[in-house]
Parts: sequence; structure tokens; C-alpha cells
Amino acid sequence: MSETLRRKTFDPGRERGGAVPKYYEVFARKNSDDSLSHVGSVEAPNDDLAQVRAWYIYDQHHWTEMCVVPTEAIIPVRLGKHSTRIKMA
Amino acid sequence: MTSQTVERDDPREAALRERVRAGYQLEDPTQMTPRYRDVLVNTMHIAADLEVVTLPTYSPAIRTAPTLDDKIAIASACQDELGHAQVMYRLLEEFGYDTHHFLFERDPHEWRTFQMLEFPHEDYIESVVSMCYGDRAGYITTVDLEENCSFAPFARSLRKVNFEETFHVGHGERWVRFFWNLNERSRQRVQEAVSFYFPLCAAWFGVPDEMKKRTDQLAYKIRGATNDQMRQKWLSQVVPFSESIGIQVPAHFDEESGRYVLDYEPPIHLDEKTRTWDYDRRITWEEQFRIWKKGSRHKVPSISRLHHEVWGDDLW
Repeated sequence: MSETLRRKTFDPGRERGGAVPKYYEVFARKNSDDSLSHVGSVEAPNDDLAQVRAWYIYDQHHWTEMCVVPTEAIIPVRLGKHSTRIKMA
Repeated sequence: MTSQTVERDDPREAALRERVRAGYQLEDPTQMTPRYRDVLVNTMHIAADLEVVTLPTYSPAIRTAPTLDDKIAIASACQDELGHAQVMYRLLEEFGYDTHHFLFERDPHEWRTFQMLEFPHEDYIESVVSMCYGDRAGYITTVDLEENCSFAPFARSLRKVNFEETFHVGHGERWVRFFWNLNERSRQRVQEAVSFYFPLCAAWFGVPDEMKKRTDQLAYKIRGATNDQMRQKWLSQVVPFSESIGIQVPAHFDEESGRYVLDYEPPIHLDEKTRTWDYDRRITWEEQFRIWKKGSRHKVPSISRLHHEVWGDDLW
């Protein structure tokens, strides 16, 4: 019993890739006619885990295509003062 | 929470309320006023807690579910709910929340859970009744948020959530019918579970509108419908469903007012141990608030399981 009452440990280096969380945007389409759409985002320390987490969390459809993109790799296109940055969900 | 009682209604607040009433949607925290931010974060915080507590509530039924398919159905519902929580954590991180602390380190007493989700299911019948009646109540609130929430990222994220919740409700309905017709014993168990869950689900929507003190959720269009409107929507679905099968529920359609009404006047007394309601024994709202705030006797042990248990110790 005392074994099971051990609090879960968390290694931010392994689970988060460091002290600062790293985010990935998730894009998917249901079939080839569909546009590739933003379906949400996940936090992950590396590309591999980002794929796993995206697949696990956004499993509401049988997607034919899904990709993850590091949020920091996305260059927002701005028109004057209007922000068109990637939104959080 | 407390900030709503603090007087700080500067012109920016009124201007934002005006804009969201006209259909304006916000995309990120920089566009928010303090009061808007408070009521939004509070709403998402509770929504995230409610998704996670479904795990210790539903998981005992994985062991007792009669077939492998049923075990998979419950496990899959739990996986869905955790996915919904992840989506909400992702949003909350934009507001300075640390997910690991929020999920694994926060004192279980501080979790904001609702009574409907605080009783671990004793068997599979209780799980399907809970899906049919309780998940439907949850679905009505999250659909309202998806359709009305002025914070667009939250509204968008709920598309996935609501899409998956329809499966839980559908699964619940199908199996409630099945067990009602299986044999006398299972029918009795369905009735017993519905009798326990019905008042819990009706209370899910909160206090009656005339008692509601905090109105920022509606004023800032975080949600669109009032407590009573959502409760009415839930009643208009579960009462005809139950009547068509023969399940007795403490509510009916009132011809005169054209509305569904409860056959009892809440709040009423619940014996937690026997899970039975005493419809004739009214308690005061103060007592009810105290009970809701404290949580059922299962609340803290359930959340502690999430904090300590590795790979579901008593699952297999």
C-alpha cells in the first residue's frame, strides 16, 4: 500500500523538453477532398512524442492525414496591425 | 472568483460586454478585460476538473463490466474524457496554468467537482445510466459553450469534445434499454440507478435562475443559456425517453405551463451511504452549498488515486 501511495514523479526534461513547454500545432483532414485543417495543439518535448500525443488526443475521426508542426516554426503573416498568428485551439 | 464581487466595472468592461453581445469573439488573452478573463478562466478550470474526475468515477466499472466489449467501451470513454481534459489544459496554459501541478500536485480538496461525478460506479449498469442521463447533462452544457462562447479557441476546441460525447450518450441509451428488457433483476437495477442519478443530474445545472448571484458568464457571453434553460432542455430529453421505456423519473410535463417540472422541490436530502434521496425532506440551500463544496466522501480518495496510483493498481 505504501508503495502505491508514492506520488507520481515528473521529469520536465523528459516529458516537456525543458523548463519551458514546447507546443506543436495539429493539422488533419478526413479525406482527400477535405482541406488540411487546424484541429488543435499539443505540448511535447520532441517530434516523436508530439505525434503520439496528437494521435491520442485528436482521435475523433479516422483521419487520412495528420501532421504536427512546431508552433515556433510557424511564421505568422501580418497585415498592418492585424494579428493572424496561429491561435491556441 | 472574488474579483466578481469587487467593484471594478470600468468603461472597458462595459464596452467589451457590449461587443460580445453583438457577436464579437476574442482570440487571445491580450484582448480581455480582467473580469472577462476571470470568468472565462474559472469556467475552463471547472470544465477541466470535471473531465478528469470522470476517470476515477467510471474506472471501477471496467472491472465489473460483463464482456470485453463493455470493458473497452468504458475504457474508451475514459480515454475520451482525458483527451478533453488535455485540450482544456492546453488552453489554460495560455493563462499561466502549470498542467502538471494542476493535475498531480494540487490538493484534492481544492478540486472543483460536481456531485454528479463524485460517486464511483458500482457496476456497469450504473455506468450506462450515468452516460445516458449524466453525460447528456454535461453535453448540454458543453454544446451551449461551443455554440455561444465568445472566446473562440474554447468554442472551437469543444467541437471535438461534443462530437465524442454524443457517442457516450448514445451508448448509454442503447444499454439502458437493453438492461431494462433483459430480466427483472437488471430492470430493477436500472431503476435504482436512475432514481439515484436523476436528482444529481438535475442539480448539475446549478441553482435556479432567481437565486443566481454571479451573472458574468452570461454578461460576457462565456455561455448562452441560463441554468434553468439548460435544465429544461435536459428534462425535455430525459423525461420522454424514460417514459417511453417505462423508467420512473421524478419529473413530468406540465400541460398548463408547457414546461417540464420536477416532482420535488430541491434541494432534498441524500443519504450518501445508501445512495437514496428523501424527496420529502428538504434541506436548506446553505446546507446544499456546504455539501457541494465539501464533495462526497469519495471525492478526495478518487482524486488521490490519480495522484498516486501507477498504471491502475486495482484495475486488472
